Amino acid sequence: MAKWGMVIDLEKCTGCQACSTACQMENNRLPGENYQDVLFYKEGKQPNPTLSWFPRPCMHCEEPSCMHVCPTKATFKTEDGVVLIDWNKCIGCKYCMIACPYGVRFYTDEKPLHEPNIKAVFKGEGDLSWNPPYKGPQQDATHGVGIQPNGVVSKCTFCYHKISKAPKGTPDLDESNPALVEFVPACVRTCAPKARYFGDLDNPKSQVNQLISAKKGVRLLDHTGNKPQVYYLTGSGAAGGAIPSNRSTNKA
Amino acid sequence: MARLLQASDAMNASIAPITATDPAADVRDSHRAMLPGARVLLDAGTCLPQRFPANPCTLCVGACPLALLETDGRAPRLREQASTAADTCIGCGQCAAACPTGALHVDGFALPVDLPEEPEILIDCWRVPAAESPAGTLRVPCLGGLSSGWLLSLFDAAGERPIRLLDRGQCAECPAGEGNRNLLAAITEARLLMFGCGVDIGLIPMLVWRPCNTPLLPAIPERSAETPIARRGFFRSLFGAGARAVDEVKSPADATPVTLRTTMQPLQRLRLTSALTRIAQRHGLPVPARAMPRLSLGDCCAHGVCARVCPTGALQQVTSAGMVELRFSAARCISCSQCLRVCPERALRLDAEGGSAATEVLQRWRQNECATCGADYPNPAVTPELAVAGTCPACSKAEQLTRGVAGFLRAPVVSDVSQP
Repeated sequence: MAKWGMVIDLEKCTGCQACSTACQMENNRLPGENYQDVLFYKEGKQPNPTLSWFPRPCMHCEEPSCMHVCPTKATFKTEDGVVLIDWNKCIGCKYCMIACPYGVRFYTDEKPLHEPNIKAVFKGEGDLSWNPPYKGPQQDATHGVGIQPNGVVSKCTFCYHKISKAPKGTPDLDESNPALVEFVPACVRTCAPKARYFGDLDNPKSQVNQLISAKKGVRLLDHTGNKPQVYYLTGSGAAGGAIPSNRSTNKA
Repeated sequence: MARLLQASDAMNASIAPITATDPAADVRDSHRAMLPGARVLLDAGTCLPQRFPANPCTLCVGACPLALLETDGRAPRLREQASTAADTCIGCGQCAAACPTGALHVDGFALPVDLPEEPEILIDCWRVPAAESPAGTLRVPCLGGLSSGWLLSLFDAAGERPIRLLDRGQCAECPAGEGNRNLLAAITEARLLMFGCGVDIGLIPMLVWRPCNTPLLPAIPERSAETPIARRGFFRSLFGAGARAVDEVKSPADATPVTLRTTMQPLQRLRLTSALTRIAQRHGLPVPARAMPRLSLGDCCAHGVCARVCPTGALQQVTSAGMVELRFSAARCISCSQCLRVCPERALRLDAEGGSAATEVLQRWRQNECATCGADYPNPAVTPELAVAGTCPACSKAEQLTRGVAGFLRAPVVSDVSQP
């Protein structure tokens, strides 16, 4: 079985947030609750502050703390290494949101974050939190895919509705391969500078594995023992690629 | 939050009208026979270990006198040998009496709508031939299937007439014989609670010795053999049986409801507490503290996980007038300890008794608005480690992550790039 993982090259990431927008369209999300964000951080004072950023999808940890605390076992890890939520079992207790060290989980029933409240305009039918005018055909509550119902927690699924249909044994889901493009997660497919790679971490021949080893991929908050399956490439040299001006591409 | 409030109001309203004689409330549409033809029905969606896989509740397994129930950490099952003869389960109802959530149901224990007029209420077993029971006797499949709540509700509904349970002297030979143990525990508990309410000693439930002159029936009869069904009941039972027969094909696991988010009505618990409240009121005493668990709070961070997992809605986090309150209603609490188990701070403590019958406010916080995203969040007295002043937990976490990770992803900056 594959163990899907993602590599994000911070030397290439421009912080354009096309990934967030693509995610929003693919997964029926609204601003402020995308399954994936780009986090910005400003350091230093004028006149010479530095701005750094990094995208934050769900890390799909090997040892997900969210899964271990879930009192109803609604959060689970699939055989192909993806952490998903069974919306039929989730009771919305939000313990997972406290346990997740990366803060990638969402509960959207409370006060709307933006006015006008889009969800009040497009009211959901039955259990669903809203009824987006444009929506993907997929709705799979047992895998936490589709429009979020009321009263449950949601998060990035690595676009499970796409990657789970990929041919078995594929080492990399590369958006430039026409045969595979439909199976690539939305954020990877849309990334304009091609900063994202998606593939099988269990396959030594996959491009993601080669990149991690060649460019010394790192995982965030490794000390928590969560062992994320999302790796960041920070560039060579003493200064990492999270700061644009430090990038090797600038110095060349 | 508004949704929560409404729910809580509905719940508080629903405590009052529950009377002893509430015939159909025990068996729900989601109850399924545990094996085809079995007399014990299971509503898997309300079974505690089925909802919360780490919940250690095995009360039903311990209560079954034939040790027919087994569990692998989820909802109980009837053992394999029970499948060969569906009637291996004798329908004594002792498991159902032990179940705190009403997930298990055995027919025959509904309190009657019309209570007999006699000065004493007699209760007899279905195995005793009907002709042997004195006129007006209440008949149940097995006395072991009675709970203290059942006895109290009956006592309350009958206007505090004494309850006499007929001991036919043959419990020891009955396969459900161990039921005596459950029955004695239920009687003892009911007595202690009645004493607490100031009930006279002559009125408490007693086991009275009435040996049976004729031989008992070989087994607890089916309900149809026991009670002639009224016409309406007949049609209802027909349709019910049809629906159930279809459902029996499904295994209990398939019967998991679409959502576990709805709180359940702990009917037995509500019956007990409402009966007790009325009895105590009549005697001008407070509800005995023995019946009311007490929940106390330590270093609470206002996460509210406890309130959201509470299966019965006994613990609720309610927002009103700019304040967030954690409210506890001991009358609904079934002491399942699920709140203790999920509290990230382990800040809760549950004592078996000593609580009050009225809804208590355990903690009150000011509702704050997050400076970053604008979301409302309760401002806890004890601040979690990660908190950034003025921001909600989610924004605090993002901020902390960004700060920590920005340094990590970068390693030491060698030169200030803005300087030539």
